[in-house]
Amino acid sequence: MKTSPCILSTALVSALFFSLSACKPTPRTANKQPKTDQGQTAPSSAQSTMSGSGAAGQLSSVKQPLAAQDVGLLYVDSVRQGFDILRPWEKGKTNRSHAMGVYLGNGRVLTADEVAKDATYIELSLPDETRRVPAKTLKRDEALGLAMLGVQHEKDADIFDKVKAHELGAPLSPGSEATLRTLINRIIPVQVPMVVESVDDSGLLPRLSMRVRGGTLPQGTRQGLPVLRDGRVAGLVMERDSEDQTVSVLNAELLRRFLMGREEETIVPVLGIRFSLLDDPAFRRYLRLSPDTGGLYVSKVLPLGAAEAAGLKEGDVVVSIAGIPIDALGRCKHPVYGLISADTMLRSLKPNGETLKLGISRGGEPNEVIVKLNRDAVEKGPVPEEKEGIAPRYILWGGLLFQPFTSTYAEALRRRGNGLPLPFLRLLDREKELIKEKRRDVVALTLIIPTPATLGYENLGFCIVEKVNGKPVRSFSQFADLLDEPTADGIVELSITRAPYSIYIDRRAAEASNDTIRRRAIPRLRRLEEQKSE
Amino acid sequence: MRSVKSLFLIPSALVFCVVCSAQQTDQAPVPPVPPITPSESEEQPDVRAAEPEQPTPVETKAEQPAEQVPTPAEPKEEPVPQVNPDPSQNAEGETKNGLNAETPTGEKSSAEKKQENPVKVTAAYRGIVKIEVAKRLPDYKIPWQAGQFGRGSGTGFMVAPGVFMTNAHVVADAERIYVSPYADARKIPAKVKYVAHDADLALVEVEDSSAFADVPYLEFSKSMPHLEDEVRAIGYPIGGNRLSVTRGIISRIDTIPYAHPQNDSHLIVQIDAAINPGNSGGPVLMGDKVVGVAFQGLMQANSTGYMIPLPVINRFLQDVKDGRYDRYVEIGAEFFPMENPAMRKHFGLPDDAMGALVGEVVRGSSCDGKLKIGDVVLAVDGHPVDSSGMIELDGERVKLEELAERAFNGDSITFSILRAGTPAEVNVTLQPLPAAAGITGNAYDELPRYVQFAGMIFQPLQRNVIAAHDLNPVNFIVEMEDFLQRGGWREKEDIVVLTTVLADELNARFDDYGSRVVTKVNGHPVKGLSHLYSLLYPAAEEERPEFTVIEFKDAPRPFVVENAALQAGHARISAGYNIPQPSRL
Repeated sequence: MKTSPCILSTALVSALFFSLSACKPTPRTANKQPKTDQGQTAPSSAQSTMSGSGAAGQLSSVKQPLAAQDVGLLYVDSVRQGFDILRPWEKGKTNRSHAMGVYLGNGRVLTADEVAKDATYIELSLPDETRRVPAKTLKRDEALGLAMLGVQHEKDADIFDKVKAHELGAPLSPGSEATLRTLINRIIPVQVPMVVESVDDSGLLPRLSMRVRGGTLPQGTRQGLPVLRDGRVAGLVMERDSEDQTVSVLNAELLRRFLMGREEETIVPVLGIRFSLLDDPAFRRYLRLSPDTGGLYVSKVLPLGAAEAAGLKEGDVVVSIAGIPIDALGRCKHPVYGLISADTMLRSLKPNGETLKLGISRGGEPNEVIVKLNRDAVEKGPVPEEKEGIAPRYILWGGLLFQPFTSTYAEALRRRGNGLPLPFLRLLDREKELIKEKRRDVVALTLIIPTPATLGYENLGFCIVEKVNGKPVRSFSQFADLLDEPTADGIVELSITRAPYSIYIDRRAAEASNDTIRRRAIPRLRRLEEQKSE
Repeated sequence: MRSVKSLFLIPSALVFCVVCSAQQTDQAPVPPVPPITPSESEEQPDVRAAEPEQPTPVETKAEQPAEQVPTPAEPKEEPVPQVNPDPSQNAEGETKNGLNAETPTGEKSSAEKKQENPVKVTAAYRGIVKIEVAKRLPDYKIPWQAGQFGRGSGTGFMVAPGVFMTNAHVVADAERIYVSPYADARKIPAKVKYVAHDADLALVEVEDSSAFADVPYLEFSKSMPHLEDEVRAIGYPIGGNRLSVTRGIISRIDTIPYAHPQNDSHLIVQIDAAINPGNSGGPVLMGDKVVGVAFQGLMQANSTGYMIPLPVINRFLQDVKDGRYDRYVEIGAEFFPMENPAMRKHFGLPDDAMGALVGEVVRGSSCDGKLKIGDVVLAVDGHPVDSSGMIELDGERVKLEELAERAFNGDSITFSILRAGTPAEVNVTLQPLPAAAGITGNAYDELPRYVQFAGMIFQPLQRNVIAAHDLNPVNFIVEMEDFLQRGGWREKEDIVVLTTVLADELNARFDDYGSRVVTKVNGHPVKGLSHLYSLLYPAAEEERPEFTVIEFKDAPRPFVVENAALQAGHARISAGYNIPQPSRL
């Protein structure tokens, strides 16, 4: 913080900054930035003084509550702590996150999801820090990367009284001009002219790559800052690239969908198809495609997904999306973004709940399917994704840890070691069979804590539990019931998918071990229903 | 012993594989269990070896009558090779060499005598020879290429007239073998008579045994040495050209993986006598009797050498008696310890710590159809089985699989089991698992197989291929298990993998699809490399459809080539990449 005053030239301003920083409980802005940014900030601060004597005017009236909140921005600070799905009874590391929020009126602050995800405590503050209030998440969309915050306690709602509310404007397109609204050192409002340089379609959704017109990014550019056009929010900064001096911006059309979408449900659809490009002429001729049409080859249709429901099949070629043709390189012309990858187009053209018409070529014959957009492919399948921010379910019984086998768990395991254990790989090959069995959950035996009840079984983790006492496992809660069902001899038989395929646990030994584990290590042995982490 | 469990450990075991191949080309010792590599002539210029000599064609698994095979374990059938007590022979040898350390001695075996004069060169040392081998290490990465030429040397010792025992890794991939008698400048051409890669043992026979007519054999001991017994390792390791003797004691008797061929574990004896590259194949003597064959070391440890002990040697010699090496037999079942009281109660077993559960049965193995998962094994061949799957054999507690270690193809063992509470006797005829060896162990003495089609190189999934292409075995673990454990080898010859795509206009848009298992060609499931070849290159050219469609497991799309473009493409590819033949099957 002490180095930042040198950016401004006058001694008066420097003195002012010192006094300001002295009263701050924690410095938040300048320290966060890499050192190189400080030199690069110079032009933009010049800009700020250029943009009117207004900045200087505000500076002089700093003793009064700052007019900075007129810019309609709030600071968002949060502490986040996610669950460790590999140790589901406890949470992982805590992280602190900082972002900006745009006030949209009615007590709603739009910001990046990164501050809200797994948050244990969120605070909103006015730029001049005259108010800091606890906040809560009203709504978030993980796939979009957006969150809506409000005050935790109704009594704090007056924090918004002096904050100007922004309205959502029209979306930007490549070449569009807009201004980045930010604050230098929390007090100097700045409007930096920006231009949409290109569309980045490498992620889930299209993002605008924006650059400062004739300059570098202002100091403290961070996620959650608005890009304005005609005084309205046209986009939200999601990321900054210091090396490239660009910001990645989520366009207003997607912000609008977020505002209209329902709580706790992402608007981003998952069709459940894997594609391959059609740039191989021999392959195109084999598929009897005419040389001048493009398309995407459907490599895989995920079971129970939207594409499967619509009748799409492996080997089909998707040639158009909502009537817009796909070229040979797998791109198509989005009405807002121009040429983007068809993959991104499928996710961003329409939100969940709507339908999308796909033109296909099957065996050389043109055809059409209507896809009802949803996320069934990742939510309804036999190995679904775990919902973010939800406490993972588990049962720890006699030293045996049981968890629903989800793709989230599999991914965590993959990241930790070298691939998945064989019983899990085999399970993934059995998807269709599992669907036929109508299993709601696949229950995995994931870890074995050595106890008297698990003697001899210590190396049997990472497999699927098929049956309990001969009864097939259908869901996690039903599995819990099966585990509790008394047996004549007091022995519980678990059928598992690895040698020796059946293990036997003495119920009394298991319960004794439960007591020990509960007393000495893990107070809670079961979490059967998905619970929000709050 | 290659238990079912060890097949599961393929990925971790493969870590050794890299070590081994590095070992074969450069001498740098690599942990954890590198073999004692023959010392490389390239690094230690050997003037004599550089003389131009005619390479000797090597016949690897020669089908020869077995009369000459020594059988130290069974002296009834074949007289045990005796140490020649003729002192004059020794005197002659010494004069020739002028080795003043040598003293003519007859046999002496008492430890006391040794203490008095610890390094006595007996006449028997004359039967210990240096084996110089010219090798060609096949190139599994570019399988049509000649591979790497190299030379190395190890030690051997005469066990029958003109027949020398050495390690399999000394003579593996040999193109030419010369035997240099002790203190003799001659190089006598030799060839491999029998080789047991799964036990790292080989018998090498010289073409003309006249040079050894008056050389005595070394005699094998009748019993295993014990801990702290004093032994000597004799051989021709690096650090000089003449015979070297090192001395130490028996440090440990255990079962550990053999670095050659990497997928088998057998009994070993650890000694603290220095064992260095070039010692491989040399005898380890206790008194004047052979108690083992020096073969590998542990390089990150001090004074840790390993020798192949008598049970393994005897089994090898017994096995080849019929003129053919049959390999180790496998039980093909996995035994799960029955330590859990609830498990014991379920099976109605008393609390006596006896009995092991059959946890897995390998399809197509000796036990397939005989033992069932859930059987409780109470005894094997009358030896009671404890709850951790161990039996007592010759006064030692060993895993029950050790019975198979000592058995031969066609031998049978009897399991006394409890099936669903009813006692039963199950007789199992033991046999080797045919497919297992090729895929989990390194292949030797053969040229790499491949098929080239439209610039794509297909190879069978085997250890050498995995190592050469640095493939991650985890990616193939399901296929491997299907093939090895679930009877896949009965329907399929190989798991065929696309290993390389040689860029050409035929495959220009298919260049990042490598290392995948081939599933189908034109809709026909691929059963092996030869089958793949017949599908890709049909006997009659007109049988070809318009397109050839090759499907891969988990690939985003099939590979498609227009057959009209093939002929020109193949000519271009074979010329451009210098591939002499489209396949080697």
